Amino acid sequence: MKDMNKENLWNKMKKSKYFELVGLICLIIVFSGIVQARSGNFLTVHNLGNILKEIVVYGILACALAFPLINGTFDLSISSTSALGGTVCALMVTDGLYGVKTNLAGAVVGAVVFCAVIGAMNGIVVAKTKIDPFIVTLGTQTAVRGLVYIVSKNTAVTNLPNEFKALSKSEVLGISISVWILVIVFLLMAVILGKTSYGRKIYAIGGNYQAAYLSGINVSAVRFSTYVISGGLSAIAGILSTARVGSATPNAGTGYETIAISACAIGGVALSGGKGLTIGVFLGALLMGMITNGMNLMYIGSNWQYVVRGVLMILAVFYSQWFSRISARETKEKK
Amino acid sequence: MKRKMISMLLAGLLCVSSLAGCSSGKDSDSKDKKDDSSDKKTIAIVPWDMAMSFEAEFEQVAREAIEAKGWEAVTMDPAGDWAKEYTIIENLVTQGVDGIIYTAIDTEGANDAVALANEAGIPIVDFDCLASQGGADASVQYDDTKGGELAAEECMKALDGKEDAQIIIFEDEPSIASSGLRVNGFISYLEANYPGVEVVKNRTSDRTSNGCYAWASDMITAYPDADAFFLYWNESTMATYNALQDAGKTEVVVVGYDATQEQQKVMQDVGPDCKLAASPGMSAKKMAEKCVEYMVQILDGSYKRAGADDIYKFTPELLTAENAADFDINAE
Repeated sequence: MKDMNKENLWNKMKKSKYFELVGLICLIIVFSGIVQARSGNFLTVHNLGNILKEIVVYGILACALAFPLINGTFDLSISSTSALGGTVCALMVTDGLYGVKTNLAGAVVGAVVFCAVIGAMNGIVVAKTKIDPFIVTLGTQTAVRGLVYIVSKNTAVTNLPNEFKALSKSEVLGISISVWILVIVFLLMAVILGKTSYGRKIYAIGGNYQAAYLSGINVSAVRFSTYVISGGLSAIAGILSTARVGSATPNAGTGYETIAISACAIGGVALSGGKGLTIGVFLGALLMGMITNGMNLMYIGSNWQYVVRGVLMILAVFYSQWFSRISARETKEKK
Repeated sequence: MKRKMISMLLAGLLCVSSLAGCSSGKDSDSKDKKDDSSDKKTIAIVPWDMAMSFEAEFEQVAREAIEAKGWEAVTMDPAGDWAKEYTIIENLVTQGVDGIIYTAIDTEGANDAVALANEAGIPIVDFDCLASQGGADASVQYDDTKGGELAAEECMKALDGKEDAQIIIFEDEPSIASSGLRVNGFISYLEANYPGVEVVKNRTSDRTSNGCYAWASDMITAYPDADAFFLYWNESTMATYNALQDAGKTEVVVVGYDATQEQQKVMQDVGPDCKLAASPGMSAKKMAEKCVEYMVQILDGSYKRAGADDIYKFTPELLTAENAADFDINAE
């Protein structure tokens, strides 16, 4: 009887949509062990706090990317949009953005709205035309980066007020405010994707666009909305990045889209759409942050970090595909 | 069971294979964890970007000086990205290195990074581009204002004192303090001595050699009567010189900065009439040795910074087309 209960529990676990993440969790544990053994400081409370602060930007950008990705499209402009968000917010609380100067709350709202509009422009083009989203957002990425340089007049925005920097430096219950924001973003994403009909529509469209359309879902509107969300979240990532490093530089976030793609891919988000879990995106972003942090602690430079990230992304996608094939075969055998 | 085993094996394989390439070896970017012996210290070097010749030479000299003391040197390259540099310094503080020698990619943002090191009691020495509030335990730089003045003087010599000359300057970046000092030094010299000279300031966001080449090509097209260019770092100097030569603008004078071997060779090959007329420079060797000397003194307690204005300043070494044959930037 006990064996039957254990068997049922094990079968339930195997059938669970979270089982695929076991490999990623094992990887995180093994990596942590290796780095801790070599550096001695990896698993300290202080360093874990650093890791969480470091993945704030990666994690929120990964969330920004996950919405269009699960929906079956793509958004390469998240890194430039995040730089724009950080720069616009920083300007609005310092020298003013073309005469518009406001307090921090107003600047944050303004920056998020500004970047959501960028996302909306992406969304309109992708939803209404047949242009490949990769190309659309590649173009936007370049154009928005240019906007950042124009708006910032090619210089870093510095002398940020303390309340701005406090978004990263201040703590509530011993945890940085930026980390709390990260947690809230992930929780909201989990609720939206997992518990709402809107979230189900996102998956449905990503899984099978035609079927979703024929079932009556307003696919254009949903697709458009994912880009608006992506733009808004990118702005939040940019603002928090600016708060962390104390200035908004025009080249901020360069290359971060690849980290976000890696985090999503490693976390099990299907690049073809229709599949992906919020917890997977979080674990993927966590691994990306751990790689940077762990290798810095081991005095291994950024060149090797690129190599490791790239290799891990390829292997993670291979693992995910292999896992899906094994699962499908076992399900077929049982039938 | 089978999937569980394979999952775990694959995870282990992923980890081991990913780290295998970087878990050993003494390449310039990695070092083993420091010895627990209290005499053996670990000093971190964080240059601007190891792809830049000055920074690479600085790193090499600093590393050799540190290792000559029986200490360990670790080099972490932020590749010109301020956010990366901040993260690197934060992680170095967590790892508890014994000292940090760095240059501030963002002189304002660097104040926070310096504060992290100060809080942890880790000596931090900045060079060339300094944290604006002067919070580092020691600062070493070349007198960039003087360098700009020397460049302007040589430029006007090369132009035979042409009173109505038009000079294109690569505009300074506010977040790079040394750029502003060099450009302002150049302009102030002109204003004081040649008030009739027209100065045109412009820049490109692409600061790579390719970007600067394109910038120079565009500038000489927009200002075909320009008499001279002033650039405040090596890559832009060489890119501009090459762009002008390739465009057939062989009479336009170029005054650059950094006095690198590459620039010296061009001047030697062409001779005293070379249009790459002059280049104040910094000796990476002297600067690196001074930084390490300060680090040693801070660690043994024999040096304490007197205040934010207590900055060790070298006078720039001046390379010109006339002295190129004998010029040695590291000469005492």
